[in-house]
Amino acid sequence: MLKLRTTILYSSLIISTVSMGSGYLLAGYWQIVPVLLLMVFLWIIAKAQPTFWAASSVLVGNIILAGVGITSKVSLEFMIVASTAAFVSWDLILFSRDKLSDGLSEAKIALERQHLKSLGLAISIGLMLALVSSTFDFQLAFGAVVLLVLIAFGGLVFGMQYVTKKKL
Amino acid sequence: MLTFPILAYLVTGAIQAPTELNVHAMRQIDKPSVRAHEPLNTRINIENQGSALNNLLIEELLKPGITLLGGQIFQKLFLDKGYGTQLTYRFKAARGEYSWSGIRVRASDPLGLFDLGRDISSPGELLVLPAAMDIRSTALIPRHTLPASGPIPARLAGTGTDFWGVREYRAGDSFQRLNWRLAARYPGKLFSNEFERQQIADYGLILDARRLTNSFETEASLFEFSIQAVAALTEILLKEGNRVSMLVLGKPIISVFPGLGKKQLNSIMRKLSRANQGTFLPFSKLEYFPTRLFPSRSQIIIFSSLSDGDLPTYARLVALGYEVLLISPDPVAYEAKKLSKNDLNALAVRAARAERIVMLKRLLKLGVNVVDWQVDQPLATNLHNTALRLNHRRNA
Repeated sequence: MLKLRTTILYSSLIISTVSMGSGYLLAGYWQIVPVLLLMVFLWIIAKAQPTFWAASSVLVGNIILAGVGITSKVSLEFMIVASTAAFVSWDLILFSRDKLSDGLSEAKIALERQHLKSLGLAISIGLMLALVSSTFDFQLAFGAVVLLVLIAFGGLVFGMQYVTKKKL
Repeated sequence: MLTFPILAYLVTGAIQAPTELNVHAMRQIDKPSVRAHEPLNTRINIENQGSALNNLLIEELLKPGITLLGGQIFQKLFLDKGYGTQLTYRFKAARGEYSWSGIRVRASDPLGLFDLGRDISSPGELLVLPAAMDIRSTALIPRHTLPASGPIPARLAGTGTDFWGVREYRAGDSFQRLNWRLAARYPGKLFSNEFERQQIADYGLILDARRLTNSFETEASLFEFSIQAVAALTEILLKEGNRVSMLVLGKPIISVFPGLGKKQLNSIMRKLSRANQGTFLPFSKLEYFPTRLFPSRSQIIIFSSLSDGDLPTYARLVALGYEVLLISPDPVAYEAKKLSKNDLNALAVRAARAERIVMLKRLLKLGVNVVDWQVDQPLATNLHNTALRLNHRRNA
Protein backbone atom coordinates (compact mmCIF):
# COMPACT_ATOMS: atom_id res chain seq x y z
CA MET A 1 0.00 0.00 0.00
CA LEU A 2 2.91 2.30 0.79
CA LYS A 3 4.37 1.48 -2.62
CA LEU A 4 1.08 2.34 -4.34
CA ARG A 5 0.87 5.67 -2.54
CA THR A 6 4.45 6.55 -3.49
CA THR A 7 3.80 5.54 -7.08
CA ILE A 8 0.66 7.72 -7.23
CA LEU A 9 2.53 10.62 -5.64
CA TYR A 10 5.41 10.52 -8.10
CA SER A 11 3.04 9.92 -11.05
CA SER A 12 0.92 12.93 -10.13
CA LEU A 13 4.03 15.10 -9.75
CA ILE A 14 5.18 14.06 -13.21
CA ILE A 15 1.70 14.50 -14.73
CA SER A 16 1.40 17.96 -13.16
CA THR A 17 4.77 19.13 -14.47
CA VAL A 18 4.39 17.55 -17.91
CA SER A 19 0.84 18.91 -18.38
CA MET A 20 1.83 22.38 -17.27
CA GLY A 21 4.92 22.32 -19.49
CA SER A 22 3.06 20.91 -22.50
CA GLY A 23 0.30 23.51 -22.22
CA TYR A 24 2.69 26.43 -22.09
CA LEU A 25 5.17 25.07 -24.65
CA LEU A 26 2.48 24.22 -27.20
CA ALA A 27 1.23 27.79 -26.87
CA GLY A 28 4.79 29.00 -27.51
CA TYR A 29 5.68 30.25 -24.05
CA TRP A 30 9.26 29.00 -23.73
CA GLN A 31 9.88 31.25 -20.74
CA ILE A 32 7.98 28.70 -18.61
CA VAL A 33 10.96 26.25 -18.58
CA PRO A 34 12.91 27.87 -15.68
CA VAL A 35 9.64 28.35 -13.75
CA LEU A 36 8.82 24.65 -14.22
CA LEU A 37 12.28 23.65 -13.07
CA LEU A 38 11.78 25.83 -10.00
CA MET A 39 8.39 24.14 -9.33
CA VAL A 40 9.99 20.69 -9.57
CA PHE A 41 12.68 21.81 -7.13
CA LEU A 42 10.03 23.17 -4.74
CA TRP A 43 8.03 19.93 -4.94
CA ILE A 44 11.19 17.99 -4.02
CA ILE A 45 11.71 20.30 -1.03
CA ALA A 46 8.04 19.93 -0.01
CA LYS A 47 8.39 16.14 -0.23
CA ALA A 48 11.56 16.16 1.88
CA GLN A 49 10.13 18.62 4.44
CA PRO A 50 6.44 17.70 4.42
CA THR A 51 5.04 20.65 6.35
CA PHE A 52 1.59 22.04 5.63
CA TRP A 53 2.90 25.43 4.58
CA ALA A 54 5.62 24.11 2.28
CA ALA A 55 3.25 21.77 0.40
CA SER A 56 0.45 24.35 0.30
CA SER A 57 2.74 27.08 -1.01
CA VAL A 58 3.83 24.89 -3.92
CA LEU A 59 0.19 23.96 -4.63
CA VAL A 60 -0.85 27.62 -4.64
CA GLY A 61 2.07 28.38 -6.99
CA ASN A 62 0.88 25.63 -9.31
CA ILE A 63 -2.71 26.88 -9.30
CA ILE A 64 -1.56 30.45 -9.98
CA LEU A 65 0.48 29.16 -12.93
CA ALA A 66 -2.59 27.32 -14.21
CA GLY A 67 -4.71 30.46 -13.76
CA VAL A 68 -2.15 32.57 -15.62
CA GLY A 69 -2.10 29.89 -18.34
CA ILE A 70 -5.91 30.02 -18.75
CA THR A 71 -5.92 33.81 -19.07
CA SER A 72 -3.01 33.54 -21.56
CA LYS A 73 -5.12 31.22 -23.76
CA VAL A 74 -3.07 28.13 -22.97
CA SER A 75 -4.91 24.79 -23.38
CA LEU A 76 -7.57 24.64 -20.64
CA GLU A 77 -7.49 20.83 -20.41
CA PHE A 78 -3.76 20.79 -19.75
CA MET A 79 -4.13 23.39 -17.00
CA ILE A 80 -6.99 21.50 -15.33
CA VAL A 81 -5.05 18.23 -15.38
CA ALA A 82 -1.89 19.98 -14.11
CA SER A 83 -3.61 21.68 -11.19
CA THR A 84 -5.57 18.53 -10.27
CA ALA A 85 -2.41 16.42 -10.29
CA ALA A 86 -0.69 19.06 -8.15
CA PHE A 87 -3.60 18.86 -5.73
CA VAL A 88 -3.24 15.07 -5.50
CA SER A 89 0.49 15.51 -4.81
CA TRP A 90 -0.30 18.03 -2.08
CA ASP A 91 -2.74 15.63 -0.41
CA LEU A 92 -0.39 12.66 -0.53
CA ILE A 93 2.56 14.66 0.77
CA LEU A 94 0.49 15.81 3.74
CA PHE A 95 -0.84 12.30 4.28
CA SER A 96 2.67 10.88 4.42
CA ARG A 97 3.54 13.57 6.98
CA ASP A 98 1.07 12.11 9.52
CA LYS A 99 2.74 10.07 12.21
CA LEU A 100 1.21 6.65 11.90
CA SER A 101 1.63 3.76 14.26
CA ASP A 102 4.80 1.72 13.96
CA GLY A 103 4.81 -1.29 11.73
CA LEU A 104 2.67 -2.09 8.74
CA SER A 105 -0.40 -3.37 10.54
CA GLU A 106 -3.67 -4.32 8.90
CA ALA A 107 -5.32 -1.25 10.41
CA LYS A 108 -2.71 1.03 8.92
CA ILE A 109 -3.04 -0.54 5.49
CA ALA A 110 -6.82 -0.16 5.73
CA LEU A 111 -6.42 3.50 6.67
CA GLU A 112 -4.24 4.13 3.66
CA ARG A 113 -6.60 2.19 1.38
CA GLN A 114 -9.58 4.24 2.55
CA HIS A 115 -7.68 7.47 1.98
CA LEU A 116 -6.63 6.52 -1.54
CA LYS A 117 -10.14 5.33 -2.35
CA SER A 118 -11.72 8.61 -1.21
CA LEU A 119 -9.05 10.68 -2.94
CA GLY A 120 -9.57 8.73 -6.16
CA LEU A 121 -13.32 9.26 -5.96
CA ALA A 122 -13.06 12.99 -5.23
CA ILE A 123 -10.47 13.63 -7.92
CA SER A 124 -12.32 11.58 -10.56
CA ILE A 125 -15.56 13.49 -9.93
CA GLY A 126 -13.77 16.83 -9.73
CA LEU A 127 -11.73 16.24 -12.87
CA MET A 128 -14.76 15.02 -14.79
CA LEU A 129 -16.83 18.05 -13.74
CA ALA A 130 -13.98 20.42 -14.61
CA LEU A 131 -13.38 18.86 -18.03
CA VAL A 132 -17.09 18.72 -18.83
CA SER A 133 -17.60 22.34 -17.79
CA SER A 134 -14.63 23.40 -19.91
CA THR A 135 -16.61 22.44 -23.02
CA PHE A 136 -19.32 25.00 -22.20
CA ASP A 137 -18.79 28.67 -22.84
CA PHE A 138 -21.15 30.88 -20.84
CA GLN A 139 -21.01 34.64 -20.96
CA LEU A 140 -22.53 35.85 -17.69
CA ALA A 141 -22.70 39.26 -16.11
CA PHE A 142 -20.36 39.91 -13.14
CA GLY A 143 -23.30 40.25 -10.72
CA ALA A 144 -24.74 36.91 -11.82
CA VAL A 145 -21.36 35.25 -11.30
CA VAL A 146 -21.11 36.68 -7.76
CA LEU A 147 -24.64 35.48 -7.01
CA LEU A 148 -23.91 31.99 -8.30
CA VAL A 149 -20.70 31.82 -6.27
CA LEU A 150 -22.56 32.90 -3.12
CA ILE A 151 -25.30 30.32 -3.69
CA ALA A 152 -22.72 27.60 -4.34
CA PHE A 153 -20.74 28.55 -1.25
CA GLY A 154 -23.87 28.70 0.94
CA GLY A 155 -25.07 25.38 -0.41
CA LEU A 156 -21.70 23.81 0.33
CA VAL A 157 -21.62 25.16 3.86
CA PHE A 158 -25.20 24.02 4.51
CA GLY A 159 -24.44 20.62 3.07
CA MET A 160 -21.41 20.22 5.26
CA GLN A 161 -23.32 21.29 8.36
CA TYR A 162 -26.05 18.82 7.54
CA VAL A 163 -23.65 15.96 6.98
CA THR A 164 -21.40 16.59 9.94
CA LYS A 165 -24.33 17.66 12.19
CA LYS A 166 -22.19 20.48 13.49
CA LYS A 167 -22.83 24.20 13.58
CA LEU A 168 -20.10 26.57 12.45
CA MET B 1 -13.10 25.15 -13.32
CA LEU B 2 -9.82 24.75 -11.50
CA THR B 3 -11.70 24.63 -8.22
CA PHE B 4 -13.96 21.69 -9.17
CA PRO B 5 -11.50 19.02 -7.95
CA ILE B 6 -11.03 20.95 -4.71
CA LEU B 7 -14.80 21.28 -4.21
CA ALA B 8 -15.30 17.59 -4.96
CA TYR B 9 -12.54 16.85 -2.44
CA LEU B 10 -14.30 18.93 0.25
CA VAL B 11 -17.71 17.40 -0.44
CA THR B 12 -16.30 13.85 -0.40
CA GLY B 13 -14.70 14.60 2.95
CA ALA B 14 -17.88 16.15 4.38
CA ILE B 15 -20.06 13.25 3.30
CA GLN B 16 -17.78 10.71 4.98
CA ALA B 17 -17.25 12.74 8.15
CA PRO B 18 -17.90 10.70 11.35
CA THR B 19 -21.10 11.48 13.23
CA GLU B 20 -20.56 9.35 16.33
CA LEU B 21 -17.70 7.95 18.35
CA ASN B 22 -18.80 4.80 20.09
CA VAL B 23 -15.41 3.68 21.34
CA HIS B 24 -14.70 1.90 24.61
CA ALA B 25 -11.35 1.72 26.33
CA MET B 26 -9.95 -0.26 29.22
CA ARG B 27 -6.65 0.43 30.96
CA GLN B 28 -4.48 -2.22 32.55
CA ILE B 29 -1.48 -1.23 34.62
CA ASP B 30 0.94 -3.99 35.64
CA LYS B 31 0.90 -3.17 39.35
CA PRO B 32 -1.17 -0.82 41.51
CA SER B 33 1.97 0.50 43.22
CA VAL B 34 5.65 0.56 42.40
CA ARG B 35 8.86 2.14 43.65
CA ALA B 36 9.89 5.43 42.05
CA HIS B 37 11.66 5.03 38.68
CA GLU B 38 10.78 1.34 38.47
CA PRO B 39 9.75 0.42 34.89
CA LEU B 40 6.11 -0.49 34.43
CA ASN B 41 3.88 -1.56 31.53
CA THR B 42 0.49 -0.16 30.65
CA ARG B 43 -1.95 -1.57 28.14
CA ILE B 44 -5.03 0.23 26.87
CA ASN B 45 -7.49 -1.91 24.96
CA ILE B 46 -9.73 0.07 22.63
CA GLU B 47 -12.80 -1.35 20.96
CA ASN B 48 -14.99 0.28 18.33
CA GLN B 49 -18.62 -0.53 19.07
CA GLY B 50 -20.05 1.93 16.56
CA SER B 51 -19.63 2.35 12.82
CA ALA B 52 -16.24 2.05 11.11
CA LEU B 53 -13.90 4.90 11.97
CA ASN B 54 -11.44 6.42 9.55
CA ASN B 55 -8.31 8.26 10.58
CA LEU B 56 -8.87 7.26 14.20
CA LEU B 57 -6.22 8.91 16.33
CA ILE B 58 -5.86 7.42 19.79
CA GLU B 59 -3.66 9.42 22.05
CA GLU B 60 -2.54 8.93 25.63
CA LEU B 61 -1.35 12.09 27.36
CA LEU B 62 1.68 11.57 29.56
CA LYS B 63 1.39 13.11 32.99
CA PRO B 64 4.13 15.28 34.46
CA GLY B 65 6.60 13.06 36.29
CA ILE B 66 6.17 10.15 33.90
CA THR B 67 8.95 9.23 31.47
CA LEU B 68 8.21 7.07 28.45
CA LEU B 69 10.65 4.19 28.06
CA GLY B 70 9.16 2.49 25.03
CA GLY B 71 6.04 1.47 23.17
CA GLN B 72 3.30 3.61 21.68
CA ILE B 73 1.30 6.37 23.27
CA PHE B 74 -0.61 7.16 20.09
CA GLN B 75 -1.91 5.34 17.07
CA LYS B 76 -3.59 6.44 13.87
CA LEU B 77 -5.52 3.75 12.13
CA PHE B 78 -8.74 2.60 10.48
CA LEU B 79 -10.92 0.70 12.92
CA ASP B 80 -13.82 -1.31 11.58
CA LYS B 81 -17.01 -1.91 13.53
CA GLY B 82 -16.51 -4.45 16.32
CA TYR B 83 -12.74 -4.45 15.98
CA GLY B 84 -10.23 -3.32 18.57
CA THR B 85 -6.66 -2.25 19.01
CA GLN B 86 -4.18 -1.89 21.82
CA LEU B 87 -1.83 0.83 23.01
CA THR B 88 1.07 -0.62 24.96
CA TYR B 89 3.81 1.41 26.51
CA ARG B 90 6.50 1.16 29.15
CA PHE B 91 7.25 4.01 31.49
CA LYS B 92 8.80 5.03 34.77
CA ALA B 93 7.44 7.59 37.19
CA ALA B 94 8.61 9.88 39.93
CA ARG B 95 7.19 9.51 43.46
CA GLY B 96 3.54 10.47 43.68
CA GLU B 97 -0.03 9.46 43.12
CA TYR B 98 -1.20 9.24 39.53
CA SER B 99 -4.70 8.83 38.21
CA TRP B 100 -5.95 8.68 34.66
CA SER B 101 -9.50 9.39 33.68
CA GLY B 102 -9.38 8.63 29.99
CA ILE B 103 -7.65 8.80 26.63
CA ARG B 104 -8.16 11.23 23.80
CA VAL B 105 -9.79 9.79 20.70
CA ARG B 106 -10.33 11.64 17.43
CA ALA B 107 -11.73 10.34 14.15
CA SER B 108 -12.18 12.06 10.83
CA ASP B 109 -13.21 11.39 7.26
CA PRO B 110 -10.70 9.41 5.14
CA LEU B 111 -9.27 12.66 3.75
CA GLY B 112 -8.73 14.10 7.25
CA LEU B 113 -10.87 17.23 6.74
CA PHE B 114 -13.72 17.03 9.25
CA ASP B 115 -13.00 15.46 12.59
CA LEU B 116 -14.83 14.51 15.74
CA GLY B 117 -13.05 13.97 19.02
CA ARG B 118 -13.69 13.29 22.66
CA ASP B 119 -12.12 11.86 25.77
CA ILE B 120 -12.97 8.22 26.33
CA SER B 121 -13.14 7.00 29.90
CA SER B 122 -10.38 4.54 30.79
CA PRO B 123 -9.68 5.07 34.48
CA GLY B 124 -6.52 3.93 36.16
CA GLU B 125 -4.56 4.67 39.29
CA LEU B 126 -0.96 4.21 40.26
CA LEU B 127 0.85 4.87 43.48
CA VAL B 128 4.56 5.46 43.11
CA LEU B 129 6.31 4.88 46.39
CA PRO B 130 9.62 6.52 47.33
CA ALA B 131 12.72 5.03 45.76
CA ALA B 132 14.64 2.49 47.78
CA MET B 133 17.68 3.54 49.82
CA ASP B 134 20.19 1.01 51.06
CA ILE B 135 19.99 1.02 54.87
CA ARG B 136 20.34 -2.44 56.34
CA SER B 137 20.54 -1.65 60.03
CA THR B 138 20.28 1.50 62.13
CA ALA B 139 22.36 0.33 65.12
CA LEU B 140 20.35 2.85 67.17
CA ILE B 141 19.70 1.82 70.75
CA PRO B 142 17.02 4.01 72.31
CA ARG B 143 17.17 4.57 76.04
CA HIS B 144 13.57 3.54 76.59
CA THR B 145 12.00 0.41 75.25
CA LEU B 146 8.55 -1.15 75.22
CA PRO B 147 7.65 -4.30 77.14
CA ALA B 148 7.64 -6.62 74.17
CA SER B 149 10.47 -8.73 72.84
CA GLY B 150 12.44 -7.21 70.01
CA PRO B 151 15.94 -6.46 68.82
CA ILE B 152 16.97 -3.63 71.19
CA PRO B 153 19.02 -4.39 74.35
CA ALA B 154 16.87 -3.08 77.21
CA ARG B 155 19.52 -2.89 80.00
CA LEU B 156 17.47 -5.34 82.01
CA ALA B 157 17.97 -8.97 82.78
CA GLY B 158 15.73 -11.31 80.90
CA THR B 159 15.61 -13.58 77.91
CA GLY B 160 18.05 -12.62 75.23
CA THR B 161 21.32 -13.62 73.68
CA ASP B 162 23.86 -11.19 75.20
CA PHE B 163 25.37 -12.09 78.58
CA TRP B 164 24.13 -9.76 81.34
CA GLY B 165 25.23 -11.21 84.69
CA VAL B 166 25.01 -14.04 87.21
CA ARG B 167 22.67 -14.50 90.15
CA GLU B 168 21.92 -17.22 92.65
CA TYR B 169 19.81 -20.07 91.35
CA ARG B 170 16.07 -19.80 91.94
CA ALA B 171 13.60 -22.58 91.74
CA GLY B 172 12.25 -22.81 88.21
CA ASP B 173 15.43 -21.60 86.49
CA SER B 174 16.39 -23.64 83.45
CA PHE B 175 19.32 -26.02 84.03
CA GLN B 176 20.70 -24.93 80.71
CA ARG B 177 21.39 -21.51 82.23
CA LEU B 178 23.35 -22.85 85.22
CA ASN B 179 26.85 -21.43 85.56
CA TRP B 180 28.83 -24.59 86.36
CA ARG B 181 32.12 -22.81 86.85
CA LEU B 182 30.75 -20.68 89.71
CA ALA B 183 29.00 -23.71 91.13
CA ALA B 184 32.37 -25.47 91.25
CA ARG B 185 33.99 -22.52 92.98
CA TYR B 186 31.25 -22.23 95.65
CA PRO B 187 30.28 -25.79 96.68
CA GLY B 188 26.71 -26.17 97.84
CA LYS B 189 25.45 -23.24 95.81
CA LEU B 190 24.07 -22.94 92.30
CA PHE B 191 24.15 -19.91 90.03
CA SER B 192 22.18 -19.00 86.93
CA ASN B 193 23.41 -16.94 84.01
CA GLU B 194 21.31 -13.93 83.13
CA PHE B 195 20.94 -12.48 79.65
CA GLU B 196 20.09 -8.97 78.56
CA ARG B 197 16.46 -8.55 77.72
CA GLN B 198 15.78 -7.45 74.14
CA GLN B 199 12.75 -5.33 73.49
CA ILE B 200 11.17 -3.17 70.86
CA ALA B 201 11.13 0.62 70.97
CA ASP B 202 8.91 3.48 69.95
CA TYR B 203 10.15 5.56 67.03
CA GLY B 204 8.59 8.78 65.81
CA LEU B 205 9.72 10.00 62.40
CA ILE B 206 9.23 13.67 61.62
CA LEU B 207 9.82 14.89 58.09
CA ASP B 208 10.26 18.62 57.78
CA ALA B 209 8.66 19.53 54.43
CA ARG B 210 8.64 23.28 54.85
CA ARG B 211 9.93 25.59 52.17
CA LEU B 212 12.40 27.74 54.04
CA THR B 213 14.30 29.49 51.27
CA ASN B 214 13.77 30.58 47.69
CA SER B 215 16.15 27.91 46.40
CA PHE B 216 13.26 25.67 45.37
CA GLU B 217 15.29 23.19 43.34
CA THR B 218 17.74 22.45 46.14
CA GLU B 219 14.94 22.18 48.68
CA ALA B 220 12.94 19.85 46.45
CA SER B 221 15.97 17.62 45.85
CA LEU B 222 16.84 17.44 49.55
CA PHE B 223 13.19 16.75 50.32
CA GLU B 224 13.25 13.77 47.96
CA PHE B 225 16.42 12.47 49.62
CA SER B 226 14.75 12.86 53.02
CA ILE B 227 11.65 11.02 51.84
CA GLN B 228 13.78 8.14 50.61
CA ALA B 229 15.58 8.07 53.94
CA VAL B 230 12.30 8.07 55.90
CA ALA B 231 10.99 5.23 53.74
CA ALA B 232 14.16 3.18 54.21
CA LEU B 233 14.27 3.79 57.97
CA THR B 234 10.57 2.97 58.36
CA GLU B 235 11.11 -0.28 56.52
CA ILE B 236 14.08 -1.34 58.62
CA LEU B 237 12.55 -0.24 61.93
CA LEU B 238 9.28 -2.03 61.30
CA LYS B 239 11.11 -5.09 60.05
CA GLU B 240 12.96 -5.22 63.38
CA GLY B 241 9.57 -5.24 65.10
CA ASN B 242 9.53 -1.69 66.45
CA ARG B 243 6.56 0.61 66.73
CA VAL B 244 6.74 3.55 64.34
CA SER B 245 4.72 6.72 63.89
CA MET B 246 5.25 9.47 61.34
CA LEU B 247 4.53 13.14 60.85
CA VAL B 248 5.15 15.08 57.65
CA LEU B 249 5.14 18.78 58.31
CA GLY B 250 4.26 19.95 54.81
CA LYS B 251 1.25 20.57 52.65
CA PRO B 252 -0.89 18.82 53.73
CA ILE B 253 0.31 17.88 57.21
CA ILE B 254 0.37 14.09 57.25
CA SER B 255 0.34 12.00 60.40
CA VAL B 256 0.40 8.26 60.98
CA PHE B 257 -0.26 7.05 64.50
CA PRO B 258 2.05 4.45 66.07
CA GLY B 259 1.74 0.97 64.68
CA LEU B 260 3.60 -2.21 63.88
CA GLY B 261 4.04 -4.57 61.01
CA LYS B 262 3.37 -4.63 57.31
CA LYS B 263 0.10 -2.76 57.53
CA GLN B 264 1.85 0.17 59.17
CA LEU B 265 4.64 0.04 56.58
CA ASN B 266 2.08 0.12 53.81
CA SER B 267 0.25 3.02 55.42
CA ILE B 268 3.43 5.07 55.87
CA MET B 269 4.65 4.35 52.33
CA ARG B 270 1.32 5.40 50.86
CA LYS B 271 1.32 8.64 52.79
CA LEU B 272 4.94 9.33 51.89
CA SER B 273 4.15 8.99 48.22
CA ARG B 274 1.62 11.82 48.62
CA ALA B 275 3.86 14.10 50.67
CA ASN B 276 4.52 17.57 49.29
CA GLN B 277 6.39 20.59 50.42
CA GLY B 278 4.50 23.48 51.99
CA THR B 279 5.18 27.04 53.00
CA PHE B 280 4.59 29.21 56.06
CA LEU B 281 4.38 26.33 58.51
CA PRO B 282 5.79 27.05 61.95
CA PHE B 283 8.04 24.30 63.27
CA SER B 284 6.68 25.06 66.74
CA LYS B 285 3.49 23.30 65.57
CA LEU B 286 5.21 20.11 66.70
CA GLU B 287 4.59 21.03 70.32
CA TYR B 288 0.85 20.87 69.78
CA PHE B 289 0.73 17.37 68.37
CA PRO B 290 -0.94 14.81 70.64
CA THR B 291 1.26 12.60 72.74
CA ARG B 292 -0.56 9.67 71.19
CA LEU B 293 1.36 10.41 68.00
CA PHE B 294 4.72 10.47 69.77
CA PRO B 295 4.44 8.50 73.02
CA SER B 296 6.38 9.87 75.90
CA ARG B 297 10.13 9.07 76.00
CA SER B 298 10.11 7.66 72.49
CA GLN B 299 12.98 8.04 70.06
CA ILE B 300 12.22 10.86 67.66
CA ILE B 301 14.10 11.08 64.39
CA ILE B 302 13.70 14.42 62.63
CA PHE B 303 14.66 14.93 58.98
CA SER B 304 15.24 18.61 58.47
CA SER B 305 17.65 20.95 56.71
CA LEU B 306 17.37 23.09 59.83
CA SER B 307 16.38 26.69 60.25
CA ASP B 308 17.51 29.22 62.81
CA GLY B 309 14.12 29.61 64.46
CA ASP B 310 13.69 25.88 65.10
CA LEU B 311 16.09 25.57 68.04
CA PRO B 312 13.53 26.37 70.79
CA THR B 313 11.29 23.57 69.51
CA TYR B 314 14.15 21.07 69.67
CA ALA B 315 14.91 22.25 73.22
CA ARG B 316 11.27 21.79 74.17
CA LEU B 317 11.14 18.27 72.70
CA VAL B 318 14.22 17.27 74.69
CA ALA B 319 12.72 18.84 77.82
CA LEU B 320 9.56 16.77 77.31
CA GLY B 321 11.69 13.65 77.62
CA TYR B 322 11.99 12.66 73.98
CA GLU B 323 15.25 11.29 72.70
CA VAL B 324 15.81 13.41 69.59
CA LEU B 325 18.00 12.54 66.64
CA LEU B 326 18.26 15.06 63.84
CA ILE B 327 19.22 13.81 60.39
CA SER B 328 19.99 16.98 58.51
CA PRO B 329 20.68 16.88 54.77
CA ASP B 330 23.29 19.58 54.24
CA PRO B 331 21.83 22.28 51.95
CA VAL B 332 25.02 24.35 51.99
CA ALA B 333 27.21 21.59 50.53
CA TYR B 334 24.50 20.66 48.01
CA GLU B 335 24.00 24.23 46.83
CA ALA B 336 27.74 24.98 46.82
CA LYS B 337 28.34 22.30 44.19
CA LYS B 338 26.02 24.08 41.80
CA LEU B 339 27.55 27.53 42.23
CA SER B 340 30.19 28.92 39.91
CA LYS B 341 33.60 29.13 41.48
CA ASN B 342 34.52 32.69 42.35
CA ASP B 343 35.64 34.57 45.44
CA LEU B 344 32.22 35.95 46.27
CA ASN B 345 30.52 32.54 46.15
CA ALA B 346 33.34 30.95 48.14
CA LEU B 347 32.90 33.57 50.84
CA ALA B 348 29.11 33.12 50.88
CA VAL B 349 29.44 29.33 51.16
CA ARG B 350 31.96 29.73 53.97
CA ALA B 351 29.62 32.03 55.89
CA ALA B 352 26.63 29.71 55.38
CA ARG B 353 28.70 26.72 56.49
CA ALA B 354 29.86 28.54 59.61
CA GLU B 355 26.28 29.47 60.45
CA ARG B 356 25.20 25.87 60.02
CA ILE B 357 28.02 24.50 62.16
CA VAL B 358 27.11 26.94 64.95
CA MET B 359 23.48 25.80 64.79
CA LEU B 360 24.42 22.12 64.86
CA LYS B 361 26.71 22.72 67.84
CA ARG B 362 23.95 24.52 69.69
CA LEU B 363 21.69 21.56 69.05
CA LEU B 364 24.31 19.15 70.38
CA LYS B 365 24.52 21.28 73.52
CA LEU B 366 20.74 21.04 73.88
CA GLY B 367 21.05 17.25 73.92
CA VAL B 368 19.94 16.61 70.37
CA ASN B 369 21.98 14.00 68.50
CA VAL B 370 22.86 15.15 65.02
CA VAL B 371 23.70 13.41 61.75
CA ASP B 372 25.09 15.99 59.33
CA TRP B 373 24.20 14.21 56.10
CA GLN B 374 26.02 15.00 52.87
CA VAL B 375 23.47 13.60 50.45
CA ASP B 376 26.09 12.45 47.96
CA GLN B 377 27.30 10.02 50.63
CA PRO B 378 25.30 7.04 51.92
CA LEU B 379 23.16 7.78 54.94
CA ALA B 380 23.71 4.26 56.23
CA THR B 381 27.39 4.95 57.03
CA ASN B 382 26.65 8.33 58.65
CA LEU B 383 23.87 6.88 60.73
CA HIS B 384 25.86 3.84 61.75
CA ASN B 385 28.81 5.97 62.90
CA THR B 386 26.54 8.29 64.89
CA ALA B 387 24.75 5.33 66.50
CA LEU B 388 28.05 3.71 67.48
CA ARG B 389 29.27 6.98 68.98
CA LEU B 390 26.03 7.38 70.95
CA ASN B 391 26.07 3.80 72.19
CA HIS B 392 29.70 4.13 73.23
CA ARG B 393 28.96 7.38 75.12
CA ARG B 394 25.98 5.77 76.82
CA ASN B 395 27.89 2.66 77.87
CA ALA B 396 30.75 4.77 79.19
